[in-house]
Amino acid sequence: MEQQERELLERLKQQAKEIEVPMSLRPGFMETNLQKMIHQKKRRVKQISILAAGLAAVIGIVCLVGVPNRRLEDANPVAESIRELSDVKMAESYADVYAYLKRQEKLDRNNSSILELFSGGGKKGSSMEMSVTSDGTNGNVDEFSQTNTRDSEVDEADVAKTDGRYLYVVTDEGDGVGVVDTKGGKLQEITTIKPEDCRGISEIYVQNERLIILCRRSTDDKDNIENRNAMATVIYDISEIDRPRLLNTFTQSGTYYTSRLYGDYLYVFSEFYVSTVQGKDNYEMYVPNVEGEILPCNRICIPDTDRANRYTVIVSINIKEAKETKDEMAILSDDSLCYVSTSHIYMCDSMYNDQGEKTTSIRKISYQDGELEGAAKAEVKGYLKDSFCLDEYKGYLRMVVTCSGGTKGGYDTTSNANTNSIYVLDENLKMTGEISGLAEDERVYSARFMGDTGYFVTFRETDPLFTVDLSNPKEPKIIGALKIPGFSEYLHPYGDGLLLGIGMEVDEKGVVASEVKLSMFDISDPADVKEIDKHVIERAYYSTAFENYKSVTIDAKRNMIGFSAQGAYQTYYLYEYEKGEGFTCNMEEGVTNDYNTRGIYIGDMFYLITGSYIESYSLENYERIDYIAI
Amino acid sequence: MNRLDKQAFSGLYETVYKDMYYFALYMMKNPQDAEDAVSEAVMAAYQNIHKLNCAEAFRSWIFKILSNTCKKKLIKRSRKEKHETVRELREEEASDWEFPQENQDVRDAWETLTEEERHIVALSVFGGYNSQEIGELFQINANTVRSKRSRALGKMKALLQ
Repeated sequence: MEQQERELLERLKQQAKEIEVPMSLRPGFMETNLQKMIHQKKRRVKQISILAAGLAAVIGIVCLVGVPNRRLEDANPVAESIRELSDVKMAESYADVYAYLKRQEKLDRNNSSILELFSGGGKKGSSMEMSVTSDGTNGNVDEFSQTNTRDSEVDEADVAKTDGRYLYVVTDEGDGVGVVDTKGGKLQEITTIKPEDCRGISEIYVQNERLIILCRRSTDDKDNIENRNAMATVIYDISEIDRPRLLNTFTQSGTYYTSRLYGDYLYVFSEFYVSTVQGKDNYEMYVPNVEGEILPCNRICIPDTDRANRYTVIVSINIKEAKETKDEMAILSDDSLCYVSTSHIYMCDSMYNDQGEKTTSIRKISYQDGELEGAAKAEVKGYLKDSFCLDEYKGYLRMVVTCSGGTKGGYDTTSNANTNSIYVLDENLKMTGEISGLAEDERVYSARFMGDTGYFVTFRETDPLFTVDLSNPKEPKIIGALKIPGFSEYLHPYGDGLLLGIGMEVDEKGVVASEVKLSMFDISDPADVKEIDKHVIERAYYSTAFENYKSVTIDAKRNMIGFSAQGAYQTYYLYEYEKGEGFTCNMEEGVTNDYNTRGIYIGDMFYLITGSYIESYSLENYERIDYIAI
Repeated sequence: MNRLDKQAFSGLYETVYKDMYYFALYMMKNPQDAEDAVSEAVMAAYQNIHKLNCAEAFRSWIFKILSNTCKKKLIKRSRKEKHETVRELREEEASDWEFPQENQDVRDAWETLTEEERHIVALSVFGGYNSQEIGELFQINANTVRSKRSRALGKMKALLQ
């Protein structure tokens, strides 16, 4: 660090000392405070306050069949909400890429304040919001749990995994993967696998005798300017667990973003930021590389938008062979949300059009057997809350978006009311059907598409759970709307005819979200959805389930709902649900870090994993059996 | 394994509470939010103190918890503010953070930092984290942390001259 920088840090430190620390935080008070907070019956309402007018608690069922739908035949109105774009555009030369980035850099300088706001002040969490689809209707009871994924057939990496006997856990230090034997409910550390030149492990996979580690490389600084080959995918053969065999290490530019595993192919997504562009011929500085080689220009996808300051680099690898990378592609983008179905990758960028309205640009990439190919793209009005808001089914892409009204223009900076829309797009991303103008002034909080039916929750003062019939792609229909107080932030199918919602209750005035709520909806008649049970967790005001679906363990067949929530304490809860009896809490355990806490079951045992600290509980009496720190 | 108990907590807390509050204040830019963030982080730490192995790691451990708490609160706040306009947002941020009068220039300079820059600088100043540790927390390269921090401090320096 430079002398001047050090001085400035010191100055900040000295000046802070003049600030008075509130009484409640001083050591003498803290101890009494800790006690008080533990016993406090009701927390001061200060949580996520929801600006809403009027009173809540209207419970009723509104059926919206016959909402005027826009159909394809009324060609013009449909065209308004979608901008059809040509093919996914690949660069023809590095000069193309260079010119784009240069233009971008200039825009960046001119618009820095606006850009800062629009990009939301940085990354939206590298563990993107996405989720699961196990519908829990067929098959036998699973012996052990799998990571809760967005699409039940497409695996996703996580911080803890099991193969039915061993737990594989990323250590707190992030430098290794601890392997713990769970035989007989006892926890025994077998080994810790520490890849060389590798630190900051993000996530892992365990599948088909392979352990895959996604991590940051620790290389010679000179060799690694601007994260050029900063991330590594390390593959081990773990057929003999006490003798893990390193098969290969693959490198790519940027930092780890997310990944998917489907069939024998792993798809690794990294984010590579281009900070400055100096010299057209200095390719290394602005073109990402994979395995030490810069990408050919025709593997770089250039967006139509002007705002893109980073690449999403996608690399596919056959994990069985683990010999070489199969394919690679780099997509210049801004802040992508990624959804992967069993046949396509969808990269969605949130943008603004000239009217100041939010739009979403979608790039669809096919990935069969590791081969990445641009398939189609489009731009639609509105923004996506998370990856559950879009869903591919029988070749169609269904979406539920919130359309911000844009500003009124001139000196009037107030916004027009939000509305919400349903779109159905065909395989070329052409609009086939649309419903718009739903739930004025509200926005989408959660969504779940299940076959021909879609469910989504919007919220302002009460929680309408909308049911949409998508069986005819040209004519999506709202067939039900259930209004209840509060809202669900995460929806998960719970066996036959049931849908679980995890969300927030609102206070009597309908103004402030108060406590975490579990809702069970009976969806056996999609046109007449009912909330048949609800449960409020006192003093819990936030759940990790809202942001990270991988943190929940929900299994209808095992009758198990596990997630962490934050109140005065960060706590992991394990519930069961019986029709007629409602929700029963079986476990309530304090944890240090609710974001990284995972619950995994194997047979009759439940393992609570918070980084390097693992506890085992019996699922018969929920008593703690053992614990280990690795 | 030697784990710490709740009795040890008070003593350890005394060594860090001021820096915790400063950190939270510089992150949240609002005294009420800062106070809440520290209380929550302390509660979580208190309840889980037995999971910490040694007293030496206390500072970095509790700052990790605090850093996550602040981040979560900022996410929640930004979600809440999603619909408010640019101007309202700016005014609100500007109005609720009082700094001793004579240090107004530092505060103004601080205002120009992005959330990520604030986070990195605040962890350096109050958390005592080095770039390597910040990198690990953010899962980014230590070099990147250093260059981001230089950029942030450069921005502030320019305004303070």
